[in-house]
Amino acid sequence: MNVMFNVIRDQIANFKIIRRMAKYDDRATYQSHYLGLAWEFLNPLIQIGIYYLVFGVALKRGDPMHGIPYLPWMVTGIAPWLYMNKTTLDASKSVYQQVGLVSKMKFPVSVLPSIKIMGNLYSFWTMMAFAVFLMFTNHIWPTVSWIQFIYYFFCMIVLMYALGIFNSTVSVLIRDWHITLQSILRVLFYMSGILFNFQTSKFPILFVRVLELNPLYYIVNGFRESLLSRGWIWQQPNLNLTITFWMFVLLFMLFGTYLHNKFRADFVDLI
Amino acid sequence: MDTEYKIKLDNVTKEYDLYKTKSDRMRNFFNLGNVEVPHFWSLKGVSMTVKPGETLGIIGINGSGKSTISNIISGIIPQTTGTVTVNGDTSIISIGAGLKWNLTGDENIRLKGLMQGLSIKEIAELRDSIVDFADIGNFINQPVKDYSTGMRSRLGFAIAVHINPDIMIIDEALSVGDDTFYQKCVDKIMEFKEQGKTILFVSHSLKQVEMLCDRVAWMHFGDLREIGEAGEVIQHYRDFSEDFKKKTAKERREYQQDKKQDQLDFNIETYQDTLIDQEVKVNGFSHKEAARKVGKVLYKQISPAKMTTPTKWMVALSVFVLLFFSMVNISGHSIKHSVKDPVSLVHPRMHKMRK
Repeated sequence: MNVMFNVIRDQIANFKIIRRMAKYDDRATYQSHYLGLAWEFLNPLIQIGIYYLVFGVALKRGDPMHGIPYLPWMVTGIAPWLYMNKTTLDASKSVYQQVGLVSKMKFPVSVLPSIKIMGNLYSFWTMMAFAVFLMFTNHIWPTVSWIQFIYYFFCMIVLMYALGIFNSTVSVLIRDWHITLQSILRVLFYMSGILFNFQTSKFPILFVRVLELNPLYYIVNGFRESLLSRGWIWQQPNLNLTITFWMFVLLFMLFGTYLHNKFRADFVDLI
Repeated sequence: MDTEYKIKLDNVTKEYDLYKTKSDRMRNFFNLGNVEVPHFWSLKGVSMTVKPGETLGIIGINGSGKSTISNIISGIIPQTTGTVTVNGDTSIISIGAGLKWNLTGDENIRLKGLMQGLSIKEIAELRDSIVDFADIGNFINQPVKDYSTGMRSRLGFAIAVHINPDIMIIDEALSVGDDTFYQKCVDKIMEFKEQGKTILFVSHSLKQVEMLCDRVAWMHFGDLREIGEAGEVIQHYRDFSEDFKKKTAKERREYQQDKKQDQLDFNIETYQDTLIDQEVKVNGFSHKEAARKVGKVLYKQISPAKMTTPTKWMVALSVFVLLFFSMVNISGHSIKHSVKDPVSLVHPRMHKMRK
C-alpha cells in the first residue's frame, strides 16, 4: 500500500511537469495536420452525427431517460465515453512509447499515464460544452444536481489513472494487451448504454443489473443524472454501484502500482 | 570525517536476473513455478561519498559496474540493496544520449527540457545556446534518425549541460565526438568545475580522467577496489593493466572467469552477515543492535518485491466487498436485507422496482 501512496505523491509533486507535457503532447500530435487541433472535435462530431442518424432518427430506438430528447441525452453520455476510451488506450501505450527516453534520464515514469489523462481533457471540455449547448437548446436548465458533476468528474480521473498505471505496465510486459484492450472497449461501448438506454429497453432485468456494475457505466450514467437532473448518488442502485466502483478502482490501483513498482527497473529489458 | 557530501552510497548492490528466454521472465512475472535463474551481481556492495564541488572519475575494465553505479546515482535504475543519498539534481549524459529518433532536434530539445522540469519559456531561452553548442546548424529541424552518431551525441551533451544541474554524470559521452567538440566539452566541464558543481566522470580513457578529475574510484568486477587521489589510483590501475597484459591468454581468461563466477556466487545474506560481524567488531555493538543497523542501511530505501501483508489483506477485503455488493445489486435486494439474510443473494428479485 505504501507503494500506492508513493505513486500518488509522485503525481502531486510532478504536477507542473504533467501539465506542461500534456500541453506539448497536444500540440505535437496535430502539428503536421492542416486542420490541426480542429480534428480533436471534427472526429467526434462526425461520429455523433452518424449515431444520431442511426439510433435517433432512423431506428428511433435510443430509449433515452424519461422526458429527455435523444440528442442531449446521447451527447452527455458519449462525451465522457469518448474521453475515457481514448485516454485508456493512450495511457496504455504511454510507458511503452517513452521507454527509450526515460531509460536514459531521471524521470518519474509513473506520471506518463497522467500526461495522457491531462492532455485529452482539452477535447473533453469542448465536448461537454457542446453537450450543454444542446441541453439549453432543448430547454433543459441547470439545477442543484449539477454539483454531482464535480464528484463524477473526480471519479473519472481516478478511474483513468488506476486503469492507466495498470494497463501501461501490463502493455510493456505483454504486447498483446493493448490490442485486447481495444477489443474490450469496443464491446463495452455497446454495453455501457451510450447509444441506447438499457434501463428502459426490453433487456431481462438480471442482465440489466449485471450491466450496471460496469465502472464505465457508473461514470457515464453519473454524468447524465447530474447534468439532466435525474438522480442522486445516494439513491439505489447508485449506492451499490458507488461501492463496487471504488472497490474496483482500489484493486486496480493496488495491483497497478505494485506491478509498476516491481517492473520499473526492467522496462528497458522487456522490450 | 567530513560530514558534508553531495552523493553518498552505503553498501549498494545491484542484481540482474539472467533469464534465458522471454517466457522464463514471464513465468517469473506471474509466479508460475520456480524458474531457476542465475543471478549476476553487477555491484557487490559499494560505499563511497562524493563531496560538493568534487570531480570524481570512475575507471575500470568493461563490465566492472561503472555504468551501473552511474545509473543508480542518477536515479534511472534502483539499487537492489543499500542506501543512496543524493543531495541535488542530477543530469546524466550517456552514449545513447536518450533522444527520440523520429522527432526533430528542436522537438527533442523541448521534450527533454520539459521532462527535466523546465517551462516552455525557459526552454525557448536556452534553445539557441543549445543549437549553437551542439553545432548541428540546419539539421536542427531534421529527425534525429538522420543525424550522424557524432551529431546525436553532441546534441545529447548540449541539452544535458544546459539544463544546469548541480550534479553532472558523464558516462563515456566524450568518446564519440571529434577533437573540436571534445575540446568544447572539456571547456564546459572546466567551467562547471569552477562554478563548484559536482561531476562524476565515467571513462575508459585514463588521459581524460587524469586531466579532469580530483579523485578517482576504481571499479573492479562489482567491487570498489580503490578510491583516492587521482594520480595514485590511476598509477595503481596502470600497474595492474601492465601486469595483466603480461599474463598468458589462458591465465587472463581464467582470472576473468574466476571473477565473474564470484559475481554469480555472491550471496546477499552472507554479505549481510559479514557486515554485521564488522559492526560488532569495529564499533562494539551487540549482535542484535548491529543486525538492526545493517538491515536498515540495506533495506531502508528498497520497496519490497513481494506484496506486503497489509496490502494482501487490503486486496482480500476489497475483493470481498466488491463481490458482495455486486451480488446485492444483481439480486435486487436492499443492502439491509442482504446483510441480514445473505442466502437471499442467490434468489434474485425479478421485479423491476427496487426496495
